[in-house]
Amino acid sequence: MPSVASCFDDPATFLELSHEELYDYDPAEIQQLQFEAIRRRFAEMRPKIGVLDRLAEDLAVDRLDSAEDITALCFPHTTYKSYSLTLIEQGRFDRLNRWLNTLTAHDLSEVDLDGVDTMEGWLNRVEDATQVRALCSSGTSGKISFFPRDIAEHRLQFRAFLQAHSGYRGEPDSGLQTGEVDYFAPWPIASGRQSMPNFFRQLGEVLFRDKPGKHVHTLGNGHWDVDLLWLSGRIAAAERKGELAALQLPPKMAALRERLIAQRQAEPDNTEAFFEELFVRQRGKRLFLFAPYLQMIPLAQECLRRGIQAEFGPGTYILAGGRSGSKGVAFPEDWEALCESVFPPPHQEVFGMTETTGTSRMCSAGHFHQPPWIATFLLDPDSGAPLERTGTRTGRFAFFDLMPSSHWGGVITGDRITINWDGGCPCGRSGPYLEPDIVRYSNLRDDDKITCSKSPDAYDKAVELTLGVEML
Amino acid sequence: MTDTIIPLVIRGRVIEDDLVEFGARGGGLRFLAPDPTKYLDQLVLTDPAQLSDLYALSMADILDYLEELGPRLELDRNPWLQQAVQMKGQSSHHTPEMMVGQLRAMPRLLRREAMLEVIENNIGLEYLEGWVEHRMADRTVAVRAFGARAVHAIAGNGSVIALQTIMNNAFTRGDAIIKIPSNDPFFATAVARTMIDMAPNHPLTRHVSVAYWKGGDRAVESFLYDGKHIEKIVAWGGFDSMRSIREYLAPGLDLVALDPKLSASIIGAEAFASEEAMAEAAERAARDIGYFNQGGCVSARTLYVVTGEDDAGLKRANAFGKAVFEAIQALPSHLSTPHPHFDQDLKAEIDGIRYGEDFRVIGGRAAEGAIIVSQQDELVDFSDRLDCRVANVVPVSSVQAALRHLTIHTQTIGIYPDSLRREIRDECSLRGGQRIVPLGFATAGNFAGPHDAIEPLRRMVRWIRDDSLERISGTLFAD
Repeated sequence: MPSVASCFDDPATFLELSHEELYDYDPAEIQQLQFEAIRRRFAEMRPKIGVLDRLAEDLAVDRLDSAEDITALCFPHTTYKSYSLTLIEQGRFDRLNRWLNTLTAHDLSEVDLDGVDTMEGWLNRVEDATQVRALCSSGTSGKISFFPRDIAEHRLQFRAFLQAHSGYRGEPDSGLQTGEVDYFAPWPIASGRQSMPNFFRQLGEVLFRDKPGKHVHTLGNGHWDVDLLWLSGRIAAAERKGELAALQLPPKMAALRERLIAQRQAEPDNTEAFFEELFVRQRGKRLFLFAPYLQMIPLAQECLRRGIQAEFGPGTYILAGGRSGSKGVAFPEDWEALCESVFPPPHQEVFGMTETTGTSRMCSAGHFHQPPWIATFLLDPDSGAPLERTGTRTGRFAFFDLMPSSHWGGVITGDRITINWDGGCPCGRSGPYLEPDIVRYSNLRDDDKITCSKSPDAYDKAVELTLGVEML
Repeated sequence: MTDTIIPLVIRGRVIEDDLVEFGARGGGLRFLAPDPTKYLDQLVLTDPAQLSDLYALSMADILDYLEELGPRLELDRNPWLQQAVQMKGQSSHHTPEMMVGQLRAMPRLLRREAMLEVIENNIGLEYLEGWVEHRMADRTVAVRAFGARAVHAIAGNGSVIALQTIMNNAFTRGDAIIKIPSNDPFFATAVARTMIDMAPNHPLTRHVSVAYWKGGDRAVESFLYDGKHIEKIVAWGGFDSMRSIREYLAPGLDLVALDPKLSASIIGAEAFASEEAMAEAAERAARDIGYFNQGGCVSARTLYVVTGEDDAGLKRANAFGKAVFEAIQALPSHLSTPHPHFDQDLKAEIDGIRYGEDFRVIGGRAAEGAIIVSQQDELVDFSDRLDCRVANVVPVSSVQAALRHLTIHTQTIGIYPDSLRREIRDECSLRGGQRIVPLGFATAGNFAGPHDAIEPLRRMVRWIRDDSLERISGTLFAD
């Protein structure tokens, strides 16, 4: 049987382990192996990642001897949106490309940028010429972050997702990894470069590649351009400042409008098809439904209105979540009962983010366990110094992801997390675990970040604005 | 569990029952305070005629009261203020030294000549004292400023706002319910307790209440923010709290909005004509950024420098940024220090752009502050969150280009050189700016005169007219 310890030479081999094997290890030994592997990564990546080299040189860190050294070299999550906004406004995709090139080991310098006038166009050219498939997400300021994951890493992340949702002891098995259950998500779009549509793409390209017919079912079938994501971020930022009326639509967005109109016209039919597939054609079958509560609530309300009660087959896996992350969104009073009445529990929950391949499902004891290829750290929220990795502590979450080899794995997140470092979770998994109460530090003040669970709303607003302007 | 208690003060009574726990911003400070929902009916002055006791006082009586309060707010003899300093010490963005310095300056506001300056310049003593007659073509109109029942949602970034609120309430003979902020729940309470110690039954003491509730708490606000209970809301607030307050606005309820503002500097080409001029401008800019650790809306956050955007211009802007950073580091510790609780989200933003080509970061390693020099005419995308002695120097090609950045959210604009100020002050105003000062004087505050482009004292009162007409007429203009 392969051991966890033997996987550190080639982290991809972690994904060959069963869920049980993955979490059966000696924590002290694993920590040491993680540190050694991080040192190797540093030596490999420093010459390839410009920003890493500049950071290490600036801090005069040449050896990663301690948690201090490692966390000092973790990139703040803001690194991936550190370009200048005028580059986009002025269409300077050559400079944007040069910026992204400092964050990936792939060589983007040969990408042909002739005639590129949109972000979508730029990323298409990057994809034509290289392995990089940047993930896009929109932040508080309306700026988009570009996370330069490559094709191989997307595959690894996807397999890690399947592993995390496979069975563990008495915990349910999603069955998704067998390719025998269909995947449903009440998402307004089917393709694009954000985490969710990227995941839909992986499902199609990996799991259902050789299976005829449609097996990934989304509420909408349209595509969300990066430029539209950018616009929705700008709308959110303008709304926050009360300057929505002053927002100007860039002329190049006009090209999007026709497609958006078509997508909007197709919406009712798409919705009917989704309902038909989920509640009629697949009645009694086992399936995988991803519906965070923000999406599940309107879906349940619509079911109630139509008098539909889900009749899924045994083993159906419902991945929900977004209880605590739903700050700022008012759920109806009876939302829990409503959701459970239409979609019978259990509902699984998950913790993950764009910047990590290490997704984890809430265990039977209500905790999250990071897979062993993720070295976790907590930083003092005031000083940024790493906290002692003992006992139960709360701080800013930082991690080093050993899976990727084309971008730097060290990230300082914006999340406040409590970790029990001593481990001993009753679910049976080895190693430290995360408490479920996870909040963004910026939410402790005020925040309107469009998280992945809020993006459908932002999508609607962006579509409305784009179409609204056209009607003038 | 915390043992810090913030009592509820209702019209001369100090209440410490029904305690529930509240948390401050960023999860830092936590304290216990009475559950406000249990005291709502006592908090409001149901019958507005109960304001009449204030009208038995003359303005001289009111000024006497405040003048007597002044020495009692001397920190060394006031246990409530001492306690406030001690409790706030855990959470403040000021060091104890800086906080003490500010508190020591406060009794000066209560000197009679200072108060009269505020009253005369902001509203006119005679309108507060009684009816002022104006002879018009067909009638005589007597005008008087009456106090209002108001909730004052005050800001927590300067203790002086609490004292100013209490003073304004006394000047205008109002009934104030002061909603204290979670980042400074101490100071307003300390002043109210000092008033109770001094004159527990005085009408001015009995028309001040100080309460904490979480901003946006519907159970509290839907009751209080009702024309039956108050006439005015005076709100210093962030966008979120303003948005929640605006939900309650209905006829009969007036909002005096002191919206959140950010301040800027415009530094003309003259600053780059000589080494001496640049050093002077940098030193002045450092004061506007660094004083009181950039905690005020008047503190400069974005500095537009007319250096040009070519290589030579960027070189000048970068050199200026370095000089400003060094000047900030040299500021005296009672006015400016490394921030005791440096914003780590801001740190993440600074670290994110540090190694790119578009911005140059000077400092920002720990809590010492930073100057971010944009390498073209563009602000950092987090410009509305600059704080903790972090400012953005933006090179522009002309004064006109700088002016284009001003908006209605720009409060103070510090300008260098002085000759430029008169030249551009009209356009600064038209573009939204609200206060124009020579560079280096942004934090030199003064309460006499407009604030945020309104005259708050005039907005806090109800202006009543009494018409005397000699001839019977039903038309607007009698023959």
